[in-house]
Amino acid sequence: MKPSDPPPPEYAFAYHSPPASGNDINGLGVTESRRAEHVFHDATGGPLPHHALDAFFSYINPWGVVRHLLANTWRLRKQDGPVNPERVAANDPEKMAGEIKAEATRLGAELVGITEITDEAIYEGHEVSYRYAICIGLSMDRNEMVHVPQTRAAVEVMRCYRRVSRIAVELGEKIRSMGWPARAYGNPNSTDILHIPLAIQAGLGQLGKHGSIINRTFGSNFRLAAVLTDLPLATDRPVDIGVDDLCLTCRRCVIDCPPQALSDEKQLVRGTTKWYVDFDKCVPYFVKTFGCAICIEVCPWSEPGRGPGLSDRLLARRSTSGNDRED
Amino acid sequence: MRTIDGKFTTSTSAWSRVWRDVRLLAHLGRQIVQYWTKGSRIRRSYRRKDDRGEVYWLD
Repeated sequence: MKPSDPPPPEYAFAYHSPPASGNDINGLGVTESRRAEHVFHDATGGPLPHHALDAFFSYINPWGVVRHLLANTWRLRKQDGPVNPERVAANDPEKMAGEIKAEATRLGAELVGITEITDEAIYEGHEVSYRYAICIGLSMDRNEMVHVPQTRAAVEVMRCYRRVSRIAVELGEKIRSMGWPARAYGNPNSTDILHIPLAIQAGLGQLGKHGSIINRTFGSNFRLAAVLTDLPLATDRPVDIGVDDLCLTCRRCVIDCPPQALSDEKQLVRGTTKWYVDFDKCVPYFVKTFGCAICIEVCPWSEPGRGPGLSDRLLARRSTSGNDRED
Repeated sequence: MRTIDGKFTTSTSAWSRVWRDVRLLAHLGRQIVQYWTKGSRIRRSYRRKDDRGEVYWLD
């Protein structure tokens, strides 16, 4: 697909005194490993370096987007709550993980994976007291998303966040009713955790050149939420679906990104070499277009029905060329 | 205009949950009023400046 009439990357807003580069705050070029810091969005409302741009973004968003955001906020009041004092025994983490995944699916989740929470998935200055993350994915309506970067795609993004938050909140309530603490994290502005690293660890997909997760079935056309809990659960493993094999040669997202925020090379970010989106180029365009999302929708993997075959072909090509990767 | 994490979610007793809901409704009400008052002014001003090729200063 091609983006729907994308506006030029020229902006009628600016700072008199620009804040620190978002790339510097994100740790671009930094060799030592450290946690990520909030730059732009922060659900606590605390002052962030790019707070003025975030506030402006909030106010210029169309009401169709904002109403979903407010409804999501109302829903997330139940992200935490009282835990049933009578605890259900959880002696079999495999069985329990199966039951929790079945429940998440029953609630509407299309993707569910479980992982232990690691330090890299927690924001600097934040702590979480839970051991496991249940990552939940829900696909967006592709008929709406093909209109990126127009308003109707932005509305669909927020609608999907609202729906996936509902699933997380209800799953959290279910786990608390079983006597185990649980806290749902909806999106888009999670304070404590980074959803993408958790979802990758939980086997939902791999990081793509556009800086978002790519799932075998849905590509990047889905949104994430999570439930953190201490309920003993068997964890999933990261998957290799061949994303790097494609991203190292495919340039679709790089070509179609109006502000040229994507790169053909992986970059060093907080001690890890990975795909990285140039914050200072991406975010002004993101603001101007109420969320852009061009890169995730033009990705070949996001084309409905294309992902599984693409993955199979890439992995088959790798094995025939003798370039098997190690986990 | 943000979703929330934690601010309104730690209540455990029935009464505190009611109080939480009241506070959150007030918070959302304020956000809606701000969106249609302050937000309208910002959107109008930004559109005007955009049309004239001028800059809307964020700070």
